Amino acid sequence: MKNPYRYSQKISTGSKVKTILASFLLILYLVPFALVAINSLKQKINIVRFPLELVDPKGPQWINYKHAIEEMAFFRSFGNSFIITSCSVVLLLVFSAMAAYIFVRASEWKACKISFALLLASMAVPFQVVMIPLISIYGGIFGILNSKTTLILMNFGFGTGLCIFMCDGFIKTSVPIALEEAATIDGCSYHGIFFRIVLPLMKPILSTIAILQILGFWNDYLLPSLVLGKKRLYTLPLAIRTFYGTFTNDYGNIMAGLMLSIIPIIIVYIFLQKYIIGGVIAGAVKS
Amino acid sequence: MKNLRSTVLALGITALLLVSCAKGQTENTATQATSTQATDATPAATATTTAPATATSQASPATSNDKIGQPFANTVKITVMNSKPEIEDALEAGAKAFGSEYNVSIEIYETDSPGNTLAERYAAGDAPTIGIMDIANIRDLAAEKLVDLSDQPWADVGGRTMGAVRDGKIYGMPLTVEGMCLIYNKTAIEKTTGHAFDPTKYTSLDAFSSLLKELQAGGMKYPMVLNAEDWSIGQKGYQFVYDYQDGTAAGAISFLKNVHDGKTSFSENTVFNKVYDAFDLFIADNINHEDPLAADYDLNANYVADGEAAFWLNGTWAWPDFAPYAQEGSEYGICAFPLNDEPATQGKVVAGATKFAAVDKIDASEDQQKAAEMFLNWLVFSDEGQDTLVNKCGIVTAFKNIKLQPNNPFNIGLKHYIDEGMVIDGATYMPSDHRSLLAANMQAYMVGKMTRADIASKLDAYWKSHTPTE
Amino acid sequence: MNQKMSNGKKTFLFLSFAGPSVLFFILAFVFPLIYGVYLTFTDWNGLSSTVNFVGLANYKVVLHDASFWKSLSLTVGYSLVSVLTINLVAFGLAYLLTSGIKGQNFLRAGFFTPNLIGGLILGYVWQFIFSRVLVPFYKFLPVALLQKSWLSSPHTAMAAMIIVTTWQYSGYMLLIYIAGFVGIPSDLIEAAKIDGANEHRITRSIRLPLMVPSIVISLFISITRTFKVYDLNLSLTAGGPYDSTKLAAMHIFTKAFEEQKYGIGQAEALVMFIVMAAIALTQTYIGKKRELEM
Repeated sequence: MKNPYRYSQKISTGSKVKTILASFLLILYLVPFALVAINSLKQKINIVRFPLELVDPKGPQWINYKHAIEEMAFFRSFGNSFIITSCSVVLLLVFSAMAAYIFVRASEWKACKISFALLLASMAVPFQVVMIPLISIYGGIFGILNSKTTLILMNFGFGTGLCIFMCDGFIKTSVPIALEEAATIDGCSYHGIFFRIVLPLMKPILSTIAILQILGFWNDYLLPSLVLGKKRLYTLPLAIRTFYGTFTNDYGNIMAGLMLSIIPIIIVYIFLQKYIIGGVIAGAVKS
Repeated sequence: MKNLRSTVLALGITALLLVSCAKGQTENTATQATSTQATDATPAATATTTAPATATSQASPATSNDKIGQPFANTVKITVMNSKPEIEDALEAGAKAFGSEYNVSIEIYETDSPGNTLAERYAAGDAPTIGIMDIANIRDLAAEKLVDLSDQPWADVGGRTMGAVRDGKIYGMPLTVEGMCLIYNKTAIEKTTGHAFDPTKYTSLDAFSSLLKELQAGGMKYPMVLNAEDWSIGQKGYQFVYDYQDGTAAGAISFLKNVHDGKTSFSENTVFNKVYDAFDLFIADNINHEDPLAADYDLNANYVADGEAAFWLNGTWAWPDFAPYAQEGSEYGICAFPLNDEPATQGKVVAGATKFAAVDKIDASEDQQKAAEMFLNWLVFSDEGQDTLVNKCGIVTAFKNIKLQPNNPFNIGLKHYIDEGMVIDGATYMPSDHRSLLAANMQAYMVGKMTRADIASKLDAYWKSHTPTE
Repeated sequence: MNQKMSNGKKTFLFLSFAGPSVLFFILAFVFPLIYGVYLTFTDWNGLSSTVNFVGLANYKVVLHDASFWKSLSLTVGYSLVSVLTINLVAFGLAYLLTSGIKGQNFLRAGFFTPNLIGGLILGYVWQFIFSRVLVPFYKFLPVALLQKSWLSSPHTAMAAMIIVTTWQYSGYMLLIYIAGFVGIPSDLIEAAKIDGANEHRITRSIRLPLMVPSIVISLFISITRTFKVYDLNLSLTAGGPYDSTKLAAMHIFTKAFEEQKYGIGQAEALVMFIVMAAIALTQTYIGKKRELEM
């Protein structure tokens, strides 16, 4: 179950160098993030004049957070974001893993070949090509926009290509077919095999996909802006947009709004981290 | 095992969520159930009894109600697309006040690119009932998608002259009048030169240039501020060339048509050269001269507000972004773009309606169109509406019946120029690819990557293949 | 799967496993795409209700639209450099962060933070850094590179785009590479160790070959993502200075919505897709072949 390196007792000099190197790089990576954090507590005028000052001369401006929460209708937007993100991700994970499984194990079927090729090609299509046609069809003709459900299903449709692609690679390298063959002999159905044996083994890739997709949906602006035209349906990024002006932006509120929308994600990320490190195949076979 | 349990739990929760949000969340923008009685068929007597009493402190409701109409029996829902984010809050408050009085529920949403948003919303069959948009958008939609507003009461108090007109019909109500000009810091100029500053004395480029030298002698090394954004230095910059031809839209259009027909060219046009003489001076004295394209709009406002520089080439729309930097006790104002020997236009400010409110007729029901028209009339004819427009949104209005005075220095200045008759037409006839094909060239000009001849030939080439859209 | 299956059984299996994904993919993507392709043969302006069939006229215009080809070649260059830097950085970091150093969980989370900020805001934050934070450093470190904002001259503005893209996506690809490294069966490595192979040897003969699928995925994602970049382009450089960093997606957006030439914009988007698909699929094909050879 464990990565053997995590518990190697000897901390060599090589490892120290690596730690220092990684930490240094990390600081570089965090600078912009830190800028957002410190500037979220400053008045706009001071953000513009002295972006690097740590504290506003008038003390930390918690008022930015108050404004952000009020003007973004934070709790409502957060709820919308949460429902849309979680439903979309669950749909994606379960069905994409299933599809990827059949695509790998029955790769000689025509249907699988064609579907997989199409899904792969779709990832290279700029969203702008389907944007207007998409809303013409589902808004203009069917009139089913302005609904979270529509957005969730669209997220699923647009995201499934990437997820299947990632699962596909993982199943090929890291899900030993021997396990499945053994199970077939025991008289397990294909669905049984998939849910009992394959899905648990896919945990590392699924949690990776989960994180990537959660972030993608959480930060997505373009598709939600097309589908959710009503303020009560707004997600966090749509709500933050209200701080953008024609010529310049309301940076204090933007940064505060951003911090508010980032914090939940960090919590989720730390929580999911555990799983990524967990399921190593070799361990799974032994147990 | 524990992991499996928590996974199952998570799945269960999400399944619940899915079910709960699949429960008929879909809402069409179905047209409201029309009230059983058509409004105009309602006997006046019953209407007055059911109408909520209007606040008596205001002007007699009778006169305003004539122009606005009667409250609806059932709530009507309309949407407003606002492409002027800085007035969002004020507009929201106004919409609430109007809505509670007339039984209309208004949802307002912002956009900074009305063209995109309109394309998206019309495609989705969910067009805004009222769109606050630019003249180009009105042109694109006009007769096909917009209600003809020619018979509206506001047309007679300035709406006809300033509104968005196509083929003799008004499709857009003029919402704001804005000026393109120089913004100045009077206090800083007087402190640096040591004498009173009267902008009308510096309308020629020669006089203006000597003032800049005076400022420099007084220690203000770079008295000018230029923006780096292509919409500002480019798109608006070229407009000075068009607007100052003879001060009228017709004059500018005939010049551009002559360019189109090869009868004349930009490089031989005197106004073009005079405008570029001014640009050259501005560029030389630009506070951002070290790195003109890294200029920051907020910092630019800040430079002029606290007197580090004296003049900012911009427009009256800058006030909301300028206000946070304005100093207590400093005086600010606006003045004309300086030109030599142009008696017809010298000393005049470019002014024109810049945002228009249009009503959709494709996706909006009759009641929704009626409600939209009522809201627009309410803005123009009710005391509260006027207060919303002038005091809360802080704009200069096109309507002569509104007696309220503007409340910020830039607008006070603009109003003064309008009252004095010292304004010229703003350009509204550029085709929609004018900015994307031309504006960036001015950025290259600012940093010396293009010469005046290059700019002139680019403009020639553009207008040879395009005609002004009227 | 077993070859001796009836067609009915095959269909049932296919639909029950892949049905939902394929169905919603077709609904969300394939239908609109077909409609979108149809629009490229019309003169629709994006708003009007009149749509006339104009055949290949839009494609002829695209062929002669010099600024489109310029933006496309810029995009190819930007994309290739970015893909290289993203993947080198991400691979290196993933190797570091799975080699059992102290605090690696914390570090992994840290490197991922850039992705917590969406594209538009990210651009604004970096614009701030390039034009306002770096320039004052010139006082302490008088090198020409710091004298002016990176965003005000063409080459450095493009470099800035690449740096920010790398910063943003390397954290993303890092996760995929970490999943790949973690997925390498530890008994293989143990066995190699017992056989006396050193770290370097293990990396070359075991880790790298087993990482091919992850590399293929990451390359594919980074090619498609960088090729389509729009948000960052808009907020970081706005295509400037003087259109020198206007990449394909931004050009297309302007064409379709600002210039009201929807059919042409749509046709340009299709051309862009074909170029990108050619690059991405070639890359994947080569990668898949390598996978099979292992």
